[in-house]
Amino acid sequence: MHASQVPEELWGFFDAHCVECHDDVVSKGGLDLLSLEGGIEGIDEVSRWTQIYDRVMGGEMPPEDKPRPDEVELESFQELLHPPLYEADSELREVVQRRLNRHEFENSLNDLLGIEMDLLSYLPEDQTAGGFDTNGQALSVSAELFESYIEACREVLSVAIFSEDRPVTEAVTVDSREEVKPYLGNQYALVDDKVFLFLRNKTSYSKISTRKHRTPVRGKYRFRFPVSTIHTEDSIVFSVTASDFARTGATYLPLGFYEATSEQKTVTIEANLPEGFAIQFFAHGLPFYLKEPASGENPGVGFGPVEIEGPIYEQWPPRSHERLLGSVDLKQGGREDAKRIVGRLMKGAWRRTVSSEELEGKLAIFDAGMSEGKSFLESLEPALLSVLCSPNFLFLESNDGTELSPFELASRLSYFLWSSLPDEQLQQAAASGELFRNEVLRAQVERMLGDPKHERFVENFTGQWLKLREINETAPDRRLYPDYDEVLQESMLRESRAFFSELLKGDLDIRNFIDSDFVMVNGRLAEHYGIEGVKGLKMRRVPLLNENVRGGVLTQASILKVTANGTNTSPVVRGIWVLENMLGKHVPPPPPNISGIEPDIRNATTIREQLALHSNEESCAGCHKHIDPPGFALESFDPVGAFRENYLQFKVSNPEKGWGSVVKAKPVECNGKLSSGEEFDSIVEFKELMLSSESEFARCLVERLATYALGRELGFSDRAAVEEIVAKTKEQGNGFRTLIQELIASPLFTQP
Amino acid sequence: MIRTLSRRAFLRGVGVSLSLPVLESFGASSSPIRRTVAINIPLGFHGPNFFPKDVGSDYKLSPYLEPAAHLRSKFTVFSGMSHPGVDGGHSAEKSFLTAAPHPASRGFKNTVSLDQVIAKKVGDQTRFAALTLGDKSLSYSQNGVPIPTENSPARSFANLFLAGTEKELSRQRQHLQDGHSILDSVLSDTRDLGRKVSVRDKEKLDEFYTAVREAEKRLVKTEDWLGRPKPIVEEAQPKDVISGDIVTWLRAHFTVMKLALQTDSTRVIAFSSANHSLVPPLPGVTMGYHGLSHHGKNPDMIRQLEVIDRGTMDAWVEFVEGLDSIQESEGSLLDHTQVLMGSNLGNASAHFTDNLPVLFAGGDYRHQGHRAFDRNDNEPLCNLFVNMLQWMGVEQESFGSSTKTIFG
Repeated sequence: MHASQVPEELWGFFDAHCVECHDDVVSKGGLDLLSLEGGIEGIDEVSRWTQIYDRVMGGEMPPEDKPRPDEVELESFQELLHPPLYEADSELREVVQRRLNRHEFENSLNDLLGIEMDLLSYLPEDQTAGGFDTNGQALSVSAELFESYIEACREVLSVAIFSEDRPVTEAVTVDSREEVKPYLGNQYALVDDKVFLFLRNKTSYSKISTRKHRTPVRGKYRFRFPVSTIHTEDSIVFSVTASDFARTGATYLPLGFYEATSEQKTVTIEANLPEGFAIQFFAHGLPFYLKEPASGENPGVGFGPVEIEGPIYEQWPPRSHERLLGSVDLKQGGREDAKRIVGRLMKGAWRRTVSSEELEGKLAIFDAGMSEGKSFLESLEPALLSVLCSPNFLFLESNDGTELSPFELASRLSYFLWSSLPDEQLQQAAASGELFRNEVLRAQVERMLGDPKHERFVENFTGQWLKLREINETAPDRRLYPDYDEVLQESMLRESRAFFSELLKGDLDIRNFIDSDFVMVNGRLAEHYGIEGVKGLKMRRVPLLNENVRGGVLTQASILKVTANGTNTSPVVRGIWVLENMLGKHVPPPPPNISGIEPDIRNATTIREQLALHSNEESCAGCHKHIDPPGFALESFDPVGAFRENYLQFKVSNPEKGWGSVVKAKPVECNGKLSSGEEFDSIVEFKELMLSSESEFARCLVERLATYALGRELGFSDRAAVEEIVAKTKEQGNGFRTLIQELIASPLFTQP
Repeated sequence: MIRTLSRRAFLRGVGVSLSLPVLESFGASSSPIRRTVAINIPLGFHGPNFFPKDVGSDYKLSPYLEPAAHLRSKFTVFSGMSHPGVDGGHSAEKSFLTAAPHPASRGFKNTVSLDQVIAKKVGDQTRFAALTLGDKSLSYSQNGVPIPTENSPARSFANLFLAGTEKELSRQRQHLQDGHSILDSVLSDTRDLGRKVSVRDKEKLDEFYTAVREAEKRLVKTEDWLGRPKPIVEEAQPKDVISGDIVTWLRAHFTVMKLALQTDSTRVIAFSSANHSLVPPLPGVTMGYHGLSHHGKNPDMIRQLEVIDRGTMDAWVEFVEGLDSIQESEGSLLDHTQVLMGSNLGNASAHFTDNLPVLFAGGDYRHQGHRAFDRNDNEPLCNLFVNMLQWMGVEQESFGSSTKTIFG
């Protein structure tokens, strides 16, 4: 690797303005310029020099109390440093070959074979870098992981292939009467054939279930049951989960949230379930405890007998079997069949055309099996596994770094927008060589964003950009926030995804991410936000009145939840979140041996008062003047994202039982002053100020998307490309879909 | 109760096709088998109750250590230790056994964990080279990839002690046999691909190649052990506990871990407790564990947290006691097992990652009572790790951020 030389002339500038503080003796802020003399090489030096470049060009350095370099000096500084820094940086910015992460692995196999399997449980969580699990540097392979691949793929084949006779499709009707019999009249009530419950469950086990009848084999099942509420005019939300009720490590598969009303309706649920599963019902929004739940007029929800039909097959043999094996007779299959089957799997899984040598290599495994006297299927299986465990399937980006093949472009596109492999149409566009044509590429992007598979992009990208994956990390204190439950949590997640999708679908201005005049809510979330007139579970677009504090992503409950812990909020955590994820600023960790603040919620002081002491120290103030203000604005929201004017505190009266009451504590102060000097009085004013940083936000958004899409971190040498995407998007109305299109059309995306 | 493992029972347990190294370790002339257990409690302990106030071997036990009074000569409690540069609050969990700095930073890449270094040295002697158990994996491979962890004590028991059905075994044999041709073919694909890609990508492929080769070796070992019956223990398979019941879950895991060591099924275990936000069914506890760890000095929350902390400490005392009650040829199982228990957080309420609580028990170390290091200028925890490595026979002078050793 050749180092990029820092020109000698630049040292004149440093000697005049910088070295007084940043030499090997003082080395203020840990920067010793003298140690950087020579070439720029490696990620650490590139980061260092990028920081120096930005601080000087941004006017932050030299500091206010020192003489400023004049325009001419700055211009020559830029001219001298830009070229070597650009060169050193671009050395680091090649997309590296990377393995599929576990989400991509799961989707790829499901899409390839037409199955719906949960494969995440087979693989350990992926490491991330740059904030995403698509990063090639972070995605490594160990022997244990490789073994997990084989195991998962074996399971995939056993689910996709049907070598036995067609199981009989049965219809049975099951109810829970027996199960609840001893508790009728007390915990449960039986009205019109329906078993009613009046309490919310504390565990993941419910007595109202179809446990008596387990799924006889893996397959698709249809469940139909009547449901209604009692003693209430409001609807009651319930959820359904499937479980094997195993004594050891029971598995629970969520099958969704539904709504019941006083008018009886029939709910139908279709689900792919493994063998030995049954479904169970949970009510939400009801109390955890009532003295005599079933004896009075307590609101309840009742479930009638459940008709179970299955396993249901749309065709026989099922689609996955046909897709993998075609119409071969397993008893009579021979080498020609194997050749066709293995060849097709290779093309699909490896996302490209394959050579006859490659195919013959795999067939040798089949041949060996046959010559040992194994059956057709027994000989075929290891050959198929060797296709799926091959680096040609597990790794993306296999080029020599000079150019991207059309197949690789197709894969980049499909893993970006679908988190999965290209479908046949996209493969064809690649095979024909047309994919590099701008209008063909654009048309494919439009088609792909119209496919439901793009919801994986929404979920995986927002899950990491907005940190939605962390929603379960902490549980809010039930005593302070008794309304928080699964339904609210689910609604929060859906809001953030629906909002992102709304902008994407309608090509709405990306400024909406900062502030919007609408929200995406359902009844539960509308109530949480104090918006009237929205009922039901379904997310919908609701316009906001002027004085409403909501709008944009900052004030979405999900974000306010993941940036808080269960009991309290920290302006520091939220401030860093805003800087990093909305403004693209890197916040360095506190210097070693500097303790943070230990939270004190006894309410003698507020977090702001504690922070004020901290930020007065010079070593802390440098960063905290940037970090804290956005966090101050968000102090108006509690750990579950509800608006607040006062902090809450739980006063214990009976320590043994944990009884006590919630009292109002000190008022929230949500005003502040940005490091740039502007002041704000509230979150509403803060968002107005943020809108003036819209270009910083646009760059940040492009940078986050590109990091996710390319699987590498962006650097100094990518700045021009990012600027161009931002500018082109703005020219065309600043729409979010346009921005995605411009990103994909950019050389950043279409070149290695 | 578990019966003491006699040589005869041992031979019956592992079958007749013993390879030489195992037999050697039972020979009269050789020294006892040494084992290592590393436990992380990700939310740590409430410091004022954990750390003793005075130092040295005559220190007064802290409130949390009182139940371990009868074991005090068998462990050292450390204060003022941490991993330099390991910050990032809960992310520090990933670095507990690796000491890789800045686990929350964007470009973070983990490094090999202590248990895996030891497993590399002693792992070929036992059915399982190492066990990674508990809520989140503490174990990282040579190239920093997390090794899957087993969360269920019941499943962990089944892996160690329950024989599969004949049908399962024959399936497994078939799979192992297929495995060889699959791996061969994958290795050949990897070599072909290596000819096409850029220099930088080659590093990634090399890593993949090494992993597949390693898997091949493990395959051979699994085949080798498949023919030998698993050891028989009297203890019944533990039931899985309801989620949230962290203390019962800990106890169940610790029991299985003790059996695993006693039967020499493995010599290295890394275990991580949970930091979930569920409410444990313990008297006086009304809030989730994670939430309580953020007590913010609220006395009621600290009181509730104490109940959970004490439950964890009790489980540890029982575990250490249990090891000590098992007699081997030259001392107790505890004398031949070094047990580290610590946390990646010194103060969970503030997410501080310095001044970690560290308990180090067993082995034939000359234990030091309360060994206190500077709370403002911490001793690298890796200095203890180097002792642990050397005690296991790993000839290594340093690990992670180590600067020296703690013991001798």
